[in-house]
Amino acid sequence: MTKKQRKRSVLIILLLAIFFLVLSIICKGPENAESIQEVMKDGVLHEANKISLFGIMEVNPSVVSGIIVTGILLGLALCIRLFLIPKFKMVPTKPQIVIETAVGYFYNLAKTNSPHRNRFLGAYLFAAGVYIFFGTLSELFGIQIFTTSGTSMASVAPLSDINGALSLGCLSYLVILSGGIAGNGLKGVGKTLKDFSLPISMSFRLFGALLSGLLVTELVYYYITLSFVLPIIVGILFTLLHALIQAYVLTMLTALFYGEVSEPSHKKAEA
Amino acid sequence: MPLNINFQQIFLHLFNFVILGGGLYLLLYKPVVDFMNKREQYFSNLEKETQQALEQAKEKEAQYNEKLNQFNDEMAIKKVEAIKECEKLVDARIQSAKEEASHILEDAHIKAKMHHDKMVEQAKEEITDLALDTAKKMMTDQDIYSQFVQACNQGDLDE
Repeated sequence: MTKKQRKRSVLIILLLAIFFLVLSIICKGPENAESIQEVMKDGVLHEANKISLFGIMEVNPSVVSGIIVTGILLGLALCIRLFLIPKFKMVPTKPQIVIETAVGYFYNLAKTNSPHRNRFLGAYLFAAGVYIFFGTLSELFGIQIFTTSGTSMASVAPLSDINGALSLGCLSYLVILSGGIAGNGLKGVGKTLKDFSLPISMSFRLFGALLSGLLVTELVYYYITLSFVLPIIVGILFTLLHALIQAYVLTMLTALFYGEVSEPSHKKAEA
Repeated sequence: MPLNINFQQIFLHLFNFVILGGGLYLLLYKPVVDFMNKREQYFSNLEKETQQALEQAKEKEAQYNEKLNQFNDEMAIKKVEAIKECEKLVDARIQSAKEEASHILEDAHIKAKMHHDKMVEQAKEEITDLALDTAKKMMTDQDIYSQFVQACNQGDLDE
């Protein structure tokens, strides 16, 4: 391609882009069915859109998203278990390095924060980390699900629903409590109950972080004029960032508190 | 409930997560961790074996060094002994050479004396022969004798 031809093709692409941009601004689409307030409110509360769960009950979209993410992750894990793990070598190959790094990170996180008792903690941290990370990333794919009212919507992150965040926050607290009981008995319960605000703070931290991402994305997509270029940054970069950060924060906090409450008391250690 | 908190949804999320956690543990976490531990064990065993081999090598090196030192010491002792023996041999040789030299010298002295004596004897004989020849000559030639007597007498008168 000569320089002249290249210039001409760039010019054509630019003109086309400008043409479509002008058309999209001139031509008014159908009025938004929901106002921005309603969209935001629904983003936070998930009251309006309900999804039928196999016809048994009506659930929030986040539950369905959670089930989809779980299905995909379990399928992926099964494939890895069947096709990759049997081929593991002492000198690792590239896919093996990726898997070992992911598992090894949570394994070491549990081991360093709770050196006395970490087998269950490692497994929990791995599951929680993977669920938060891939659950949040599922936002990017926007899998279509149909509401009970017949409208379609893109799947949301499972933890952008307060119920999802609460479930994971409370479960993390229960895990910490179980570590306290296993490590120190009644004393461990006391130690854990001392941080009674932990489930709330963990849940709302997770919820707040993921919700903020969701709201910003909703806001950006609500106005058509903001739908150019910006979603690349907002949609991908923000989602990736808070997926990583939230997975890191929750697992790190759980590991820290678990290690603290499950550590044998000094008197016991001296005896 | 405020914020649309719904216990049914919470339990559904928990149910979902428990299934995910259990599945991930059985399918991914446990086998990978087991493999990692196995590899760690394998390499730690390898390291132990290497350490042991290294220790054995060090022990052998120490033994070798000890033997080398012993050998060096023995060598040094033997060297000293050899030098001493050599010195003795050299002394003996020198001594015998000196004795031989003194014998040769003595023989030479004796031979030289004999030669000297012989030469003196010969000279004496030659002188005697010469004196006899001279006397004979004088006796045969009177003129010379009378000239000699006259000279002698003349000399007495002058005094």
